[in-house]
Amino acid sequence: MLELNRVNSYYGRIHVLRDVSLRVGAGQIVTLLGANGAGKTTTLRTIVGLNRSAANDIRFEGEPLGAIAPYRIVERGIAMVPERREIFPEMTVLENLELGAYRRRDPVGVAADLERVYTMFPALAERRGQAGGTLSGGQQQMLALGRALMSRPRLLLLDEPTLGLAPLLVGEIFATLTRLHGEGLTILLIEQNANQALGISSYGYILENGAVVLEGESARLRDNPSVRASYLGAA
Amino acid sequence: MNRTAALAGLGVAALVVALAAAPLYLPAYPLFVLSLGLVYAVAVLGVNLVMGYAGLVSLGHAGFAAVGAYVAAIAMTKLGLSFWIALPLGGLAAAGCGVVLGLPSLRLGPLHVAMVTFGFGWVIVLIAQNWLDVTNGPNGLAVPPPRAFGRDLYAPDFHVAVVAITIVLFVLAGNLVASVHGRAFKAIRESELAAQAMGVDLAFYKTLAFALGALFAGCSGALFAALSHFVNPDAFHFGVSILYVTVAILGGMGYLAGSALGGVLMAVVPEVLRGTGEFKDLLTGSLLLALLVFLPHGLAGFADRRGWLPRRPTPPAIEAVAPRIAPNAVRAAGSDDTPLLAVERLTVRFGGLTALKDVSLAVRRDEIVGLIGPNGAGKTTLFNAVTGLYRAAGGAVRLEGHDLGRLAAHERTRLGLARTFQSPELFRELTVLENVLVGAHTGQWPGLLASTLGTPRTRRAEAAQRERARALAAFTGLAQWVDRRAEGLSFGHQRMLEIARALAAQPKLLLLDEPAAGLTSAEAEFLMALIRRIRSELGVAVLLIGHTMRVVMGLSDRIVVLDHGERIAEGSPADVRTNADVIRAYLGARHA
Repeated sequence: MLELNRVNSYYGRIHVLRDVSLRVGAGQIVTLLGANGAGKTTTLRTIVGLNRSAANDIRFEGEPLGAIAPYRIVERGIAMVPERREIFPEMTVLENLELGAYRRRDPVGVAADLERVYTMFPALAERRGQAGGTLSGGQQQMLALGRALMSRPRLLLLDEPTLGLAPLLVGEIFATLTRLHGEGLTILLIEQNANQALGISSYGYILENGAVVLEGESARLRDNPSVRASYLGAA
Repeated sequence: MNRTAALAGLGVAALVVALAAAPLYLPAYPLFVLSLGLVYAVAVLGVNLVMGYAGLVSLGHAGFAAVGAYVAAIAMTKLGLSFWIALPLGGLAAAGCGVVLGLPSLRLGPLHVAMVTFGFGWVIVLIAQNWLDVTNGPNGLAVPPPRAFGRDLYAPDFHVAVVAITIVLFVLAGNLVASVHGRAFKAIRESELAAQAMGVDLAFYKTLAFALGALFAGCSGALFAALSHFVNPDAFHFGVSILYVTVAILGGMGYLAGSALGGVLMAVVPEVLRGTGEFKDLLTGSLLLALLVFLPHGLAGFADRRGWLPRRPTPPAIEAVAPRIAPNAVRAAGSDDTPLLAVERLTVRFGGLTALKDVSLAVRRDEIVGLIGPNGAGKTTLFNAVTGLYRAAGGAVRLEGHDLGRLAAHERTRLGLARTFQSPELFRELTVLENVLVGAHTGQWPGLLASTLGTPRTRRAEAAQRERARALAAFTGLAQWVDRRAEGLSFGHQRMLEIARALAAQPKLLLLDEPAAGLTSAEAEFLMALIRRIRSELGVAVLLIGHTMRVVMGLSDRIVVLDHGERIAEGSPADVRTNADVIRAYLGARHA
């Protein structure tokens, strides 16, 4: 479904991604692990067109994404839940969700998806008129996830969706992701709760210093001694 | 000194000679335009200090220049004072106005400050036009030539004086912006929240920025009066203020070279385009627009990003000397049973909402205390109330037994509280090293005057602080990133930088807000080791908010649990882990 072939990315003169190749098959959950500064967020930003370099070969459902503006990439069916949520703090929950469907021209479908998000996250329905910035961290994460779903994506990119959440909520987020996956959504996931992330995904990639150093089926990665040492903790 | 620095020094020297020797090769009128450009440059430098460095807004700098010009002119004509006294007098009068105008900026947002300064510029021109007895109204005042060495200074001679004064003012400004005080300006520009948490007195530095910005504009006005032998209100109308800002942006905000360039362009460009008749304004406007679109950081910013600008040579790191991070060796004698931090029945309300209700907790010296609870339970609110960002509605916060009462955030930092933020609040455009240096703001630094003069003692103090900041960066695992801008760091490294910056304040108690969020397990291990070293090697107690149970349970001597703004449990990690309330509200069954 998504294919990156030897992708390179730069911040100014700093070479961040070096020949990163990865694939996400339709219906898969794929996990991207790596230390801070390894280039995980940059990989997602490059996919959605926020970091560009002309020569990159990124294909979505066979079509190149190389020179397409970020908003067009959303239209193609890719949505991102950015690191640290990035909700619109002064706008209401409803307005945040409506902006997720900004490029859609099917009001009936949008209304149906809004109901779906409210059903999935009842806390958002209760607070639909409240400013996004006044929500608690967990509710904000639900809002960011709901907003991404409002574009009705086929591929969802998640950048650390459990960051700063209490243990109870971490469990809820993972349950939600499993459920979305059950409904047919394809997911590329960055997550520091590596244990749980590898638990729900089928395949994983390990990034170090901007390059893929290891990849494989999630179950095999969980047994890999170096992965255990760096990402799964001694436990 | 390396080759680039040597070349840059040579280039600057050649430029100075070329400027000073201009009377030898320029005819009278172009020479006057060049002098005028330097005079403008001084005012633009003032704008740059306020807007480029401190991030405040001024749309009234022509008003400050007018005050300087009129005060100098009146001092020379009516009081018969020498220009060399009238010049600083004009500058100081303008600085006084700057202090008064700076005060509203302490309470108002940038748009309101823009309006206040705009109004000021307008009022000054009205006063100049209508206070006939003093200013002679629209007809203006004739100003006698300055005298030096027993003769009147006219154009060629006075040009040399203008060059000399301009250079002195730029050198002083350069010393200032490179000092601890200049870094405080930039810190305020990047994040007022973090700046005050690092102990920067916002009120003092904002007022100072306006005072200095006005001082330079006032000097520029006085020089203008002496150069043109005449002052009238027209020279300081509102459009001039806007022009100052425009050329400051065009030259490059935050760059001294940008101000020099901007000032000269302000004088030279209209002369170059004079031949184009009625198209002059259109051409000037188009040129400005094009430059601003293509060079958003200005000419100096463009050159800087290309690596063309000489950098102020940073004192080399003294690698041979082992990193020295002074531990808190001095302990308050005798009072060891007094907790370091005592929070007593603290209550915080937002409007009708009670965010914290009667919460008490204590942190002893050498203790690591964990603070956990669901999202929205009030943990960060407690941090904000303890560090002085929020006012408590009830209860008390004591540090070493002293009630912190209504002390402001920056004063609490001085007393030994330092913190990190949940979402990193770094000074994004400053380097890692500069961020840590701002953290050391409450340490031993030379005063304002010594910094501005750039005394050897200042340079030694700066070098010593830099060495210490490097050691702290290394201590937190950031050694290889010291020269990178903070915004270029990954999220996890930004967290480490927040810790390094907080430690630079040499706190007694470090408050960490979710330091482990977003770290891999290996990085979390590093963090845990780091926090233990902070306690054992630096003697700093830690109050820690966290959701990563392995980290909080593994580190803490005691854990306090908040839910809905109230303390629901306190005890050892083992007690808390098995507490039924805590499992229900926070942990869930999995962690029990």
